[in-house]
Amino acid sequence: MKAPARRGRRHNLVGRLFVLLAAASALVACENAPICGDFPLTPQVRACMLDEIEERVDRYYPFEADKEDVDLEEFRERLRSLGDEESDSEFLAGLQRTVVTLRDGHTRLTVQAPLPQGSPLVATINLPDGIYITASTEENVLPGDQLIEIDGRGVDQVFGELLAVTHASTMEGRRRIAARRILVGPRNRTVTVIVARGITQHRVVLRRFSPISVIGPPLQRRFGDIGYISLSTFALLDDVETFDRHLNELLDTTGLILDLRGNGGGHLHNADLILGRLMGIEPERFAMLDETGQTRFRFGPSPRGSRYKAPIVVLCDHQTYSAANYFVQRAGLHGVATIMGERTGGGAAPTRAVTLAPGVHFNYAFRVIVDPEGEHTEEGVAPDISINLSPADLVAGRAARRGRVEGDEFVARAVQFLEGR
Amino acid sequence: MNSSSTFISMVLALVMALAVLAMTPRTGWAQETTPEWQELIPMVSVRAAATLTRYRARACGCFDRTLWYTEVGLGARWHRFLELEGEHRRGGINVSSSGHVMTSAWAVGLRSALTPPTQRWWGGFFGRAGVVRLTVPATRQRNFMGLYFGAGLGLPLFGERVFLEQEVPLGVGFAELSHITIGLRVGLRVVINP
Repeated sequence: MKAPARRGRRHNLVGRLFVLLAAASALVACENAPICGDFPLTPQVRACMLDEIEERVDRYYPFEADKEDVDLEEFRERLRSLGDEESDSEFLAGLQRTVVTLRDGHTRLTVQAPLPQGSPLVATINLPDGIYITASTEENVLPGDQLIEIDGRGVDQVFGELLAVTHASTMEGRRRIAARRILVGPRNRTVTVIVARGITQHRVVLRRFSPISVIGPPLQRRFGDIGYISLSTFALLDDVETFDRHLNELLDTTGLILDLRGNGGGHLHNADLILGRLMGIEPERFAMLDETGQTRFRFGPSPRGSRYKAPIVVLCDHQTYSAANYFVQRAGLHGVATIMGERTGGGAAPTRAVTLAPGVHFNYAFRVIVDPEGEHTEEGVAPDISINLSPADLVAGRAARRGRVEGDEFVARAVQFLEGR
Repeated sequence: MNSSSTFISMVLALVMALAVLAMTPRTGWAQETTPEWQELIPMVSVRAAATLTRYRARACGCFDRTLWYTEVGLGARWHRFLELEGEHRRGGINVSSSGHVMTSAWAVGLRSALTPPTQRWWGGFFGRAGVVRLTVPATRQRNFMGLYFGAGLGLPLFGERVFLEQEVPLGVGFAELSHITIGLRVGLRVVINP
């Protein structure tokens, strides 16, 4: 007699395994589903979104005591006044403007644009007296030109509207991000600008065909005996390997520039791995505090591999944020590097995200990083040596070629500083 | 519950279920001669294991991370010195106190006994080698090819069905996440049709 019981038992096991796998897959899928509902946003969905945001801010927002311009009661009142807007886009814009008042880049509402976004091949920056062009590959737009009008509207009006929905932890960070995005719009569409050059003004039509989010791997250069590595993000683990290879090639240099301008952060462990190549001894650990003020864990870099021993300059600006802000703080605190540039953008709180509706994500800060003194750098880190650009610098092309000695005032000053040492 | 803890729970549940299955006495099955075609059917085994390794990044030349994973796998053996196996791994890369990155992988390879047939304890020595595709979400490249090797000892727990395996695994990764790992792997292997 054959053994059907044995064969049947094997089939039974396979069937049970399949059910387990299917259940596990369903569990994973549910974690990423919108928690409030779909478009169009019914009153119930809107109420759910408002409740979810208020609940998370009430429970986790860590900076009520630190930010004098942030009033949580006012925030709640503004939140409760929302929900009756005619269109979903008006409701979401109102929600974004309300969340922005928390002045925390890690607590933000992002709404996916209906069309892919693009930008002209023109870089912009805010200076005290306006929005200026820093670099351009467009024939009729030159570095140093001042933006006067965008699509028939004054640049101050456009900037103000964009600023109202721009999240960042510092006011300067908000202005810088808004200025850099001022020409962004639907890709492959045109934008008509009026720019001023000296006493003359002229109209230019630009096409937005460049994708706006291109974050490249670490870049390495040499300026004589001075090495240069730019780090545009700490989000990706293989960038650490790329950095290691670049640093190995620059170990013989007499100085190193680490360019963290525009680095929006990423993972602390990537920042610590890179710091580990610059430090000879393990420094005191920072703490991660939860919403009750308890320490969840302590962390910090450990020396690894061949240490870079020559003087180091770290370049930073108002968009050096989150894990990059932490890197700058560590580098300055432990005497690893001289910090040059602008005050960083802060961002001392790790963030979690929840999807409220398709394409609508609410990020919220849920912990705080503090140094051994119990202090956080949510408002940014001041540089040891400030570098501020003027319109005359832009006209002279001192911000036109990022990462080059000729064409980048920050790099030129860093090379000068290191050569002087 | 996140997907990795779900996977680990599945692995443990599978191991326990298979161990119970393997321990069930085979009574009531009539003895008979095996038809020739059935000799082509491989001996099938399933296994679950946990591995902990130290990770040496090639660019740094330093052991600065820990790579760990749990696995479930299948094996098909036609001969003592020829077994084809495949496995799925879920785990992570831990960077000391600073954080971790979750990983998953698929691996396919060969296994062989390292000694002639014997009833002595050293008859359980085995070697493994194969190809692995490691997926690390928080990277540019996302998928990284590599090789795995291992030498270990399988000790019978219940006759010819359930084995406790201990192994020293060696892993080699290529491309942008180029690395070497070495550590310890412990698991259970259950032969479905000995």
